[in-house]
Amino acid sequence: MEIPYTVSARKDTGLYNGKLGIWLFLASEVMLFGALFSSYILIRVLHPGWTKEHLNVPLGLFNTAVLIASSVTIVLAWASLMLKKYNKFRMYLAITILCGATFMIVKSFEYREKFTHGHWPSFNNFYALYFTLTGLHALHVLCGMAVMTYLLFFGRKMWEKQPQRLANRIEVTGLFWHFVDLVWIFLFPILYLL
Amino acid sequence: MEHQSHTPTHAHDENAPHAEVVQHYTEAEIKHHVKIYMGVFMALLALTLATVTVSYFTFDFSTTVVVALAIASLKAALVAAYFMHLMSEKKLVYLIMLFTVVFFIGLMLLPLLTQSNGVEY
Repeated sequence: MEIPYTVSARKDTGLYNGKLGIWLFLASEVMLFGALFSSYILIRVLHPGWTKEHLNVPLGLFNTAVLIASSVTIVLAWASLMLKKYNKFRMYLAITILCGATFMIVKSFEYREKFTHGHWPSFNNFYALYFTLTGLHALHVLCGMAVMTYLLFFGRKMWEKQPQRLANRIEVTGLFWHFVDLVWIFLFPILYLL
Repeated sequence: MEHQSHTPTHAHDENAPHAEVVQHYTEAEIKHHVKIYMGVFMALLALTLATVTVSYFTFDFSTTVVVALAIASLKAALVAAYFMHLMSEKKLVYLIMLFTVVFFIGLMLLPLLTQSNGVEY
């Protein structure tokens, strides 16, 4: 069976199906992270025993820059496909994956540092929120990397037969990746700075 | 279902390499986009540095929170508007996001209920 509207837009929605799908998915993601942000507000503002723990701000700053850079490279990957430059597209996609990997490596060092000091999620409310929020976020980074790695190695066949379909897949992947970046844009100040 | 009204030939054309596609960007337009992306990138980096710098000053707590969240919201808006192409999207996407924003605000206000109910926490 051929999946409809992977390339051109449906008349009633004005969108190709993948794009409508990803936006609905992102809507549910907003609510998922929203519930955790709401928990943060509840515990932070209304709990008398909140203790602000120290996180490594330079590392957090570095990771913020890395994620922002990867958001740029994924749109550049999409733009390269639109300009029919497949090799450039692969280069930008590979850089995006490497940025994701860099983010995860830095995060794992931060986690290990906390664990060696006995700061587990059960240590106090701050660490419970810190590990839940950043852990769920890291899971999203990993999933995005998995999708991009698949497209990096198995995209050529589609590129030869249906180039616009591949470009649309990259656009949809990019929308997810920007959302992951967007979540981090809020996590960084509320966990590291405030 | 809508798509069944397409004839098989049409369905084939739809996914053919050189068929009409959703985006009708010219090369110049894409290159213009790339310039904008780089500008947004610089703005995001600058705002990130700004939020860290501001955090070293000591204001009262509510000012610090407002400034940090204002900068984060501005960064989020830049990402959404330019990288996620929300500047020029179809109506349906805006509609989905409008619903989401309404429910998101509701979620953020939910902690207030614990106060108005006088729940001991």
